[in-house]
Amino acid sequence: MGKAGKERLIKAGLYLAYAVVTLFFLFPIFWVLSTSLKSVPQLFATPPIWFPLDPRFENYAYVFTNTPIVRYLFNSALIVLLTVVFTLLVSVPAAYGFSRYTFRYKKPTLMMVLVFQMISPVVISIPLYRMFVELGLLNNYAGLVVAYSAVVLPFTTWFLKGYFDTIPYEMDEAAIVDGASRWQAFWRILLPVCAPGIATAAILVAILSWSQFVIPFILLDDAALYPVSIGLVNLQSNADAITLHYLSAASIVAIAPVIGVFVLLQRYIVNALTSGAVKG
Amino acid sequence: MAGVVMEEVTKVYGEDVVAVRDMSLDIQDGEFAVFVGPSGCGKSTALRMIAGLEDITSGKVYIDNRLVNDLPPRDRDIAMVFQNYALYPHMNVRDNLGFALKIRKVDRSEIKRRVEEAARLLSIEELLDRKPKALSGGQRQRVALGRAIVREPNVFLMDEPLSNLDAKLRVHMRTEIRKLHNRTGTTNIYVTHDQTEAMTMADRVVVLREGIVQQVASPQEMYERPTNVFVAGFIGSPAMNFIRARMEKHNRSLDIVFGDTTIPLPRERHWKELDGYVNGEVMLGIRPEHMQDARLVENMQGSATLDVKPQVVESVGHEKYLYFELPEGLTARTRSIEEIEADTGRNEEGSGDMLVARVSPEAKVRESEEVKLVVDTGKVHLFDLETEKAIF
Amino acid sequence: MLGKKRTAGRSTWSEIVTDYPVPWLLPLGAILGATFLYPIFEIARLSFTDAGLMGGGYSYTFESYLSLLRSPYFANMLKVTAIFVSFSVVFQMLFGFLIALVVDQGVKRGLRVSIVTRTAVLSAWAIPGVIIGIIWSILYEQSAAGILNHVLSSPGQTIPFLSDPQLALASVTVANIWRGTAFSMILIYAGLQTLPSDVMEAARVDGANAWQRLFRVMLPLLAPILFIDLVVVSIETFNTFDMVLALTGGGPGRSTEVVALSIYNQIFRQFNLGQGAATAVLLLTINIVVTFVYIRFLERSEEVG
Repeated sequence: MGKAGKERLIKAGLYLAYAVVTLFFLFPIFWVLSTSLKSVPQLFATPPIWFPLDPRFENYAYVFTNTPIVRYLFNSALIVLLTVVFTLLVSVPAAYGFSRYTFRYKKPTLMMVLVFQMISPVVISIPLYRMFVELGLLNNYAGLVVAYSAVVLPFTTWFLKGYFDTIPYEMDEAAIVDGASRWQAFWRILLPVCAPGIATAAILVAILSWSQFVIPFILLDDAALYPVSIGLVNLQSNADAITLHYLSAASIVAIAPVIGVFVLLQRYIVNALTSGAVKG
Repeated sequence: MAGVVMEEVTKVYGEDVVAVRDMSLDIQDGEFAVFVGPSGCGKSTALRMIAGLEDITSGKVYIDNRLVNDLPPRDRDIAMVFQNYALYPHMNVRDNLGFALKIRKVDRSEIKRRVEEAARLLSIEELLDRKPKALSGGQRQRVALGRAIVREPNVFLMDEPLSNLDAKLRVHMRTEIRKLHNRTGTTNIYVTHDQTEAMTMADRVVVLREGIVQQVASPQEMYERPTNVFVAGFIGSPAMNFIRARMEKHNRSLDIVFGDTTIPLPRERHWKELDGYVNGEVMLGIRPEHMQDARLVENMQGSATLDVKPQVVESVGHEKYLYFELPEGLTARTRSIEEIEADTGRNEEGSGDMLVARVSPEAKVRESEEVKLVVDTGKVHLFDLETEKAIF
Repeated sequence: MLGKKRTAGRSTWSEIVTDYPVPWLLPLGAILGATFLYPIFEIARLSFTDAGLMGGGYSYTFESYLSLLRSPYFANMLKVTAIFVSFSVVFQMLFGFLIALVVDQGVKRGLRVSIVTRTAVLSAWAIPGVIIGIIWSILYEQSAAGILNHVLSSPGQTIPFLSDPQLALASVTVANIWRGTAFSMILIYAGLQTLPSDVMEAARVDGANAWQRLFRVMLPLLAPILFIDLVVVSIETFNTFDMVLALTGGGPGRSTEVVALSIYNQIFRQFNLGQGAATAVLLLTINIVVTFVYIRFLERSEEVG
């Protein structure tokens, strides 16, 4: 077989691989979507119906009006927003400090931050629970957001530090020779230049926080405050065979925002992860 | 307008890394001084200490007769041009130029005046509304210069500003910078590793090596009277040839002898000091441009000749370069020479100890063909083999 | 870097303070100290007590560790966790590598479809773990109406994906692989971008075929990235909680009770804070040990590279 023929074979193989992989990863979501649009009898059909020919969009209406899903979505949005703001407020200056200063124990400190990134939230939430109980911070978004932020702070700080490191220190020096103080150099020069990196960090924090489960699971017991991840587990435990379609619809509603944002911004996110991930 | 004085300035990193050692220098008001030397010699460190971007371990720095050791850069009234321009990418050229003045809360009309004047001086008026990423290398360089001019400081500090430009642009910008200096009359301290830049731009050149000042002199003086082997080999391109030779006394003349060549030394006042070297070894230095094809020289009387067989002949149009070897052991190799060659890439491993002669383009010379060279005896240099200091 | 003594010439107090690194790092230090350092010490301390969750009196004792080690469920939990982690990690890395390779090859040949595949894989990563558990619990529906049952079993038979102890563990692992492959894929994909193309071309010119190029050139060059991937994925898998909770809750029995779930169950279901804390200390130790291995590796590669 000639070179062109070999090339065609490879391309065919690649297309096949793409089909298989894409199918494998999209199928579960597709199936849940399909389930969400079925009527109750259709749920029990054997053999199972691949996709209902008369999709019941009213299932979604039911979910919106009869479950607290809207409340959950709102809670998630609020928590995520507050977490993004708080995390950036803490990690941006910290990343600046790590990037622009040398001091003793800098390396050990950075390593310790890395260690924190690897610790399971399950381990820390139990003492946090007791601490919050004592401080009266249970079911309080202030405490919750701090806990949410703590989980993503190590990664965000590392990521932002890596990003700051790509801006040559000469620019800070130029500003300083021009007469700026450290603070002015940070605020007027470095921050504007790093805006894209900070935006990417914000997006990553948002995605990670939207998925957060352990922290709210342990630190919240007031159902009105549940984010969507907890809310859905609640719905699942109350569901049974004949409400599977509602559960599916609720699941789709829960993941739609994240997937939507993700698909829109996937290019930026991939870029961010490929440059930051390589540095661990 | 101000002079810069350094008094035994030293910079030590960590426990024992000495970047600059006891540097003392007196730069006059309005002078264009160039710090030059191989990478790692301390020239940038010295400049940054003057700027206030590095702590001074010991010693004093005065700008305009004021002790500035403890002053932050903003209070030293200096402006700096960085190697990578360090322009603010999110601001357009106009804002880049005006940033320093804005920080100091200078009056807006004054900012406008200075920015436009600087833009005019550097011919970048049409670029004022562009952002740095839309500019070419040369344009960015001029904006970086403009940023410094706008400040109307006491001293300009330039850290290898032309290193990132291509060769042609570099030559052009050299003259531009020099012209700028003539117009503003501001004291300028310029750092470079390129000796050609140093020689063409400086009022005075400061050669540094391993943190120690080797010599401070005008370009001409440094060329004609280098104080040691390092300076002699560093300044001038192609570099000076170094040969091991013996000093002999014949009747009333002192001769330098190597191989079959005898070079009579011209009479100088300090001949007496050379007594200690008679019948001993010295290092002889001859610049490539001080050798010529004997066939083109009219009056050969009293001159020294050298028979060589060039291995490589390079023709550059206005000159020819002859590369030749001397018999074993005659070419001098000391640490300084090796350092210079490592820095310039000449005589790398395996290419042997080649010497160079620059001869007239009319010389009919061919590779592997013997040719007789004439040495201009009035222009030879002698160095002590051990101390590497110039003795003649 | 700027020197230290710069107080002369500074105009405002805030400017002086921000000259030093400490103010910049203080908020981070405070938050991390309160939310990590303190809890870590607390959980270690609690593991040596017999305290209850809601407070009340307690005394210090090794009893928690002893009863943990003697518990029949402990060995089971270790086995479950070991199987779960090892299979998850191996397959996540394997699939991640293969997909990254395939997508990379596609991109290099201008096949735009590869981006679709990449996005599909990555979306799995964006979905909250809990919901992945719910989604797969729907997939694993054990009646004849379950889609996986329909596809994989013979008529008349239903596969008890989640109610057979062995099978449940396998099902959970498969779901976890689905969830986590994306991370490995992205990491390795990034690594593939950094492979120097001239080295690969030199290998081609030298006559190496595709297999040889893969094993003798590509993999060794990717080794550092693969190591990082191994470490991070391992730790994340050890810490998995949400997905397993939603999928099986640890059952049937305790056949899918991974360590994170075990901690939760012991503390909040069996109200045994001491023993749960001891298990948490175990997980913490695993986290820290693996992280230190990772740090050592980073440091060594920094010296070399």
